[in-house]
Amino acid sequence: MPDLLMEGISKTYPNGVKALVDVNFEAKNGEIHGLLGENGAGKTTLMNVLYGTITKDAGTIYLNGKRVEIGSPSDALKLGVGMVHQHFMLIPAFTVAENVAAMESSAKDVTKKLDLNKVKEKIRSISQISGLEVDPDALVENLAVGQQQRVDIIKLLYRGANLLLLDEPTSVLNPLEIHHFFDVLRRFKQENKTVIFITHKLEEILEVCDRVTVLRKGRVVGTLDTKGVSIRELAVMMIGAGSEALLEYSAPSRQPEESSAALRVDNVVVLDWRGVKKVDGVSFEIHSGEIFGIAGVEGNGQAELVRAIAGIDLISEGRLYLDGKELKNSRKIVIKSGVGYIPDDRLKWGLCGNFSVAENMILGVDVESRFNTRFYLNYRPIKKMARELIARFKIVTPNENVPVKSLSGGNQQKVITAREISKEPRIIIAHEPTHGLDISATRYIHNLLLELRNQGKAVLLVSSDTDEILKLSDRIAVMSRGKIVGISRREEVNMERLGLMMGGVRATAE
Amino acid sequence: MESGQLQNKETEKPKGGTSIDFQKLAESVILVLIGFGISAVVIQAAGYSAATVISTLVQSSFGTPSGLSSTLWEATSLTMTGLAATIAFRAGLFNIGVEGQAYLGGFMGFLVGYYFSFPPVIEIPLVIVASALGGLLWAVVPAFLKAYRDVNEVVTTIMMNYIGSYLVSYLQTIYKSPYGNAAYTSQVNPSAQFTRLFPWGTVDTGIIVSILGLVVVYFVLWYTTIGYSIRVSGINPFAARYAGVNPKRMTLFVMLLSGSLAGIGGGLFTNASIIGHFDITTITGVGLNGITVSLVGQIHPIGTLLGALLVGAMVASTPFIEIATGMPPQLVQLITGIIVVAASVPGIILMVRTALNRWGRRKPKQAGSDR
Ligand SMILES: Nc1ncnc2c1ncn2[C@@H]1O[C@H](COP(=O)(O)OP(=O)(O)OP(=O)(O)O)[C@@H](O)[C@H]1O
Ligand SMILES: [Mg+2]
Repeated sequence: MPDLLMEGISKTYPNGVKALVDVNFEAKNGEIHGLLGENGAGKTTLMNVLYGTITKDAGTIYLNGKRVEIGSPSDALKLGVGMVHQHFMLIPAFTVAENVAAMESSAKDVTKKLDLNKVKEKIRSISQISGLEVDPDALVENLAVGQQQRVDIIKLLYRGANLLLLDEPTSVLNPLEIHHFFDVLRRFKQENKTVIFITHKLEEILEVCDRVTVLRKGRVVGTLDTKGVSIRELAVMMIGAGSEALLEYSAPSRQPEESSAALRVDNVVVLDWRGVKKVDGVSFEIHSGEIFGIAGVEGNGQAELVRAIAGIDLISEGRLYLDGKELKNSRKIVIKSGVGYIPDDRLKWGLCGNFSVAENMILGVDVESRFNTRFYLNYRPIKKMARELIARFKIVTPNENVPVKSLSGGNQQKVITAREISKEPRIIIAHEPTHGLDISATRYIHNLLLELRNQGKAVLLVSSDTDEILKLSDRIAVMSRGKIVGISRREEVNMERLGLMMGGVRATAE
Repeated sequence: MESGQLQNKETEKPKGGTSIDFQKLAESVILVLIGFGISAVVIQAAGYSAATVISTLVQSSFGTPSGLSSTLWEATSLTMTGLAATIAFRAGLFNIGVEGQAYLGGFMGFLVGYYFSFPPVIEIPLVIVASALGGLLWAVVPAFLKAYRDVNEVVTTIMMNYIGSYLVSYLQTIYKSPYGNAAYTSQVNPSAQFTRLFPWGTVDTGIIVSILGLVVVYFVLWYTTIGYSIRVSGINPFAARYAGVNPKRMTLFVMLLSGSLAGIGGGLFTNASIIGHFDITTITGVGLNGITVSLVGQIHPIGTLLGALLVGAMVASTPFIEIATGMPPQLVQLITGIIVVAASVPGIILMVRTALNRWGRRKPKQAGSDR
């Protein structure tokens, strides 16, 4: 008898999307079970059903042989089922311990005095057992993404969860953190906890999972042992024949045109709200027809640098030049100058979740000149453009009128990419452009970036995925603690060297 | 990571950016019915007949021409102050100051009517402009403090409400009516009053102004680039910065616009056909009820009109219920209050979510035109 059994699960969303069709899924105690599938395959939906965040239309769930009804996350937690979402559910203004305590308290114990010291004690012991190190007194808003994720997992362990549903946990982690994270997963396994692990990285599945279930368009394709399976076989299961080609490609790097720089960043300094230098005198130039990659561990000033170039964060020292002319540090002017910008945190910066797909297609677009209007917003041409972009970029959505937050994570990313490319920009800034994308969508975006480069556009690619940087960039810079620690041509570096540059600096940072 | 954003909620039916949401309407209707249900229990428990109270309520607010007319009259100024609250909410601003702004707007409307006697085609627009100015003026301080010093607008507008209340209370003694010993002012020139639409009821041409206001607010929010920016700012301030919205200018614009609308709401009240003078005791609540109206209307312009009709009906029928049943006025207010509170539940949830999305965040220094 498997310890988790989901039988005949079906789910159709109110808008008619059949997200799950008669899905059977099982997991054993003490195993790490991978869940694989393209964007929109229904992975998140299946986990949400198990966690009680959404109601299923049909099917039954058994835990340890007993049939269970899970109507809400609190039901799930009582049964020892805990989930970490693609986006964390934490209160930024609370400390770690307060966040953990907030999760536990319910209406009936509002009268009880909260003993935070006890909570902290328990957090420390959980940290020790699981290897999830975090300071219980730290404010969540001051934590890096990787640490926030730890808090989210600790919250569940605190409630005694022993079946953990992790939705794309590694997409926010850097290689070192991923390594450590896998150790944590293996410890869970030793304690006979079950982990269901969603990822788009096939190597990760092979590295850490015992078994893997593949979903395609809401149906289960199969469940297999990862022993003896190759990446190729997994890709074929996920996408179908012909997908092998997606895995291998190399785009030869190009010598940029020796013309003057399309974008020149000159000694730029950006401060955070405390006045701490997040970007500390960064200079580089990008030529037309070149992809300039910035590698680095997330949180080393890349986000601030990119936002400053895009005109969002304030540049306190230094200048930007676009085609030799100074580019003012103003978002409006940057938009008008033909700079496309794909931000990293899509639901925070790049999209308005409640707005329709069509409305999101004009976020940060110079609507007045694009649609030749001054004040009036005519939806006809906007919806028409949205439909064209949906078709051209193969965005999976029932139509252009649904709220963008109802799209799967990968399709949300495509909305942003489509919008920014539709601006026909001179320069495109792509920050983690393939975060959460499946392999075919990733390949698609990569090809787009290469195509833009070949058209003579300047591309700034900022990614914590070193692989991605190495595949696409013509020149590579490594950023660490707010500074660029080196710029080299792609041929001159490899994974190890980049890792050393990033990792070496990391060692001194701690 | 965006942790305040609520995730994985099953999403509504497909809808465009602009269409009216019938699901939300149904939600509100059901809540109103629940409100009636709870009230009925309270009425019975207090020893009165729920059937009599509810039938009197409906009858006296919608059942007779004069009743309907009073409901519409009450709804006239409430729609306007409600729209003021709605447009601010939509931008993520909590303009509690609609109350004080309505006082000042009302008083300005009175002043125009007191000093000038032009033909109505000139006088009435003048009244509207002056009221708008009065309301705008009362929003200036909170608007600038919010935009340039990030001072919470809830605190400042509440303070402005107190100052406004004392100010107009004093001013109205200067224009004190020579007749009787009442504290309120003399009457305005008749040309400055809105005229009745029907001989048998109190509703006047002010309602046309309110409907126009509604159309304008609706159009601005959904069919203009600035309205788009307002809505983005309210839902996701980060995306607003991404979109190039200058948050300072946006705050100023919306607060001042909201203040102007609230001011007009005050003017519609003071210069109404059945009022025509300024009296702080009767105008009190026109703004705060507008906030309720906006919440009942789920922060949507059309919902605001429906909310104004509901609250208007409650206000208009209160005396009739008292007469018909002999209930004490406090009890009547409790009952109408229950209905209104039930209806505002979705609006309150929306408001809290907006607040969570906006408050308690550190703001990094912003670039360019934002300085
Ligand atoms: N709240 C919702 N309302 C309507 N449709 C939804 C909603 N959430 C998801 N969907 C749709 O259901 C399908 C499955 O989505 P799901 O989020 O489960 O995919 P996923 O496998 O997790 O994809 P990704 O890898 O992109 O995260 C998609 O087509 C998506 O558009
Ligand atoms: Mg997903």
